[in-house]
Amino acid sequence: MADEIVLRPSVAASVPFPLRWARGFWAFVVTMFRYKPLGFAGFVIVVVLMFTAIFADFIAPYEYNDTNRHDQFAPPSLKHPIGADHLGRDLFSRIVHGSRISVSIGFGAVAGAMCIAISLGLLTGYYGGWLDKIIQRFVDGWMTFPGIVIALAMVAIAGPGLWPLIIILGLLFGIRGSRVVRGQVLAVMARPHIEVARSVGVSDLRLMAVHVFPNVLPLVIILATIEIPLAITIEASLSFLGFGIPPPAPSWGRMLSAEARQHMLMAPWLGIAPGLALSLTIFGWNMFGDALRDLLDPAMRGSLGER
Amino acid sequence: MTEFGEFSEHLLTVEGLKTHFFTPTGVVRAVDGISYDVREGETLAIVGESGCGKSVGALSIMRLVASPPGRIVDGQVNFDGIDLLAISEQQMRTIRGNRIAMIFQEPMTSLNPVLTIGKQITESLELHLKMEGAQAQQRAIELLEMVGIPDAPSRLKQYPHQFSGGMRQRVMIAMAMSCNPRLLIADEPTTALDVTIQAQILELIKDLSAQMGTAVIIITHNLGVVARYADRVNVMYAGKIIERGTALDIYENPQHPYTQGLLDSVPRLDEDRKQRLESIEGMPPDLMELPSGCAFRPRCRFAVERCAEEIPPLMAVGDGHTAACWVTVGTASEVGA
Repeated sequence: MADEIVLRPSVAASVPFPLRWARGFWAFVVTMFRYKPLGFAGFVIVVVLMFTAIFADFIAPYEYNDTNRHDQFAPPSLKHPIGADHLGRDLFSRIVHGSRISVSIGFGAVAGAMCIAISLGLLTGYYGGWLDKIIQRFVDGWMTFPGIVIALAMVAIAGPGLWPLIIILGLLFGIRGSRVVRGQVLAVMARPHIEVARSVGVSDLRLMAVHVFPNVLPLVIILATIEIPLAITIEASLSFLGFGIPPPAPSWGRMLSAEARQHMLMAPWLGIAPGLALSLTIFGWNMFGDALRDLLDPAMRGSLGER
Repeated sequence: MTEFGEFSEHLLTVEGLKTHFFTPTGVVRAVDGISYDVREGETLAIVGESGCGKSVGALSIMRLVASPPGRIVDGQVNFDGIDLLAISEQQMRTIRGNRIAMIFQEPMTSLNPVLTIGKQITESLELHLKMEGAQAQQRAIELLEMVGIPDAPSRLKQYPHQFSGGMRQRVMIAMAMSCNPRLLIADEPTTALDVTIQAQILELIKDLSAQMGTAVIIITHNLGVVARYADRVNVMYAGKIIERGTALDIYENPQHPYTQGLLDSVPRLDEDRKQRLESIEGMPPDLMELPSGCAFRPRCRFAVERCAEEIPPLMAVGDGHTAACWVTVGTASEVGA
């Protein structure tokens, strides 16, 4: 452990430390652009997605539920840039509004998940003992079920809708994530600087908040960027299966199943548009997350610039 | 304790301290009944090889032994009139870093990599002296200058990876000295540093403690360090103190065969260059299964029957010089375990 750090000062000096990036956001973007072009592309996609979600009302030419009988199955044209669906609703507007669902599911579920994962992980990892045993056995039990099964069962109980989905996915990822956070907490707790902090007379709460948590934060950020696209995929899957967000909300997953499946041969844009939106979003998040992982993980710093 | 009527000048008194580790494979008696005292302003060295309980003994004073598996099973630690083993964890926290400070052996990993140096130095100032903002910053700058770090104001904003090993140990010393502690425990402070830096760090500790009147417990396996910096020495073996005396006593007149062996294994400038260095035969004992009687017996060339039957207590050799050996000290008056 010691020599790992001894050997790295030159690399460490060339790559800004994770927490300094919070101050130098632009420095971070530039670093990403230089070393991780693909990750930068992902970052751009993510930014565009968020921009679209925030300004959907201004970007979309129509409301997502404006039906128009004359434009049923209209092919792409000036009036409908990527066509219209079986009710004559403008597909572009629906995709644009649908980004809101993806973004809210992604951020909402993962924000909840991180809160759960951090609090459970810190508590069980820091205190250990019976608290750790009880909580983590529960987590073990939870992890024996496939995520989609739990999600389906809980949607069946809670009913469909955006909020139930956010809460369910938050729970699903949060409880699993707690195991990852706990592992990192255990690793950090074994480091000498924690003993030093104790010898200075720091209280448990402060030790957790000031000395342990910042060392776990890079991992939490990485976990979040992995789970956001996962949450979006699961929402799309559930919507595709009919358990997600009920119509007429323009969920990309539902657009793929309800409209596209029936009419795909006649109006292929019905399938291509939401499919492409979904793929791009997930691709973007994954590439961004990968790059972030490489840049934040000290063990990966040595390989910077090779990819 | 050993000397009567001198309690007033004893800053720290450790009596019969036992710290054991309860592991699935058995009880490790890391510290097995040690008693010693530290006087105001003096430097006490605790010497011994790896695993003899030096560090655990020091951590026990701070009540920082990981529990479980470790537990202080017996003994008393009296610091400046306070029974450290009886007070609450909360009260203990007001003593740690404030009146008893500690320096550890791994400067490279002893600082939190995600906090600035300034934040880590001001932490104990904020906790114990209730300093805030600019006042704490000012004091942190003074402390860094005191330990010889140039350009302190800008160094405060830097992170540990921007410091070399020696500089980090200086920062650790600044942190330890920040609240003017009465007692400084230095647990092998120079083990991880190269030789030239070692000397600088030790000189720094010596100068600062002399300036502030801080008593120092220096834990080391380096006998050169002991000779130069310690007033008194405790030699530990297998969780017990086996010889105690002034640095001069230990060097000039070592009584315990283990102490003699240690000294024989170190090259000395005042000896013939052709002199062969002796090594101590055998291995340190397994702390889970100590041999009967004297723990050093299996490796001792003087061992007699009695060594296997009774554990030798510390027996007086001279004024303030005691050793635990049946053979070399004989059955002279016993002075306590």
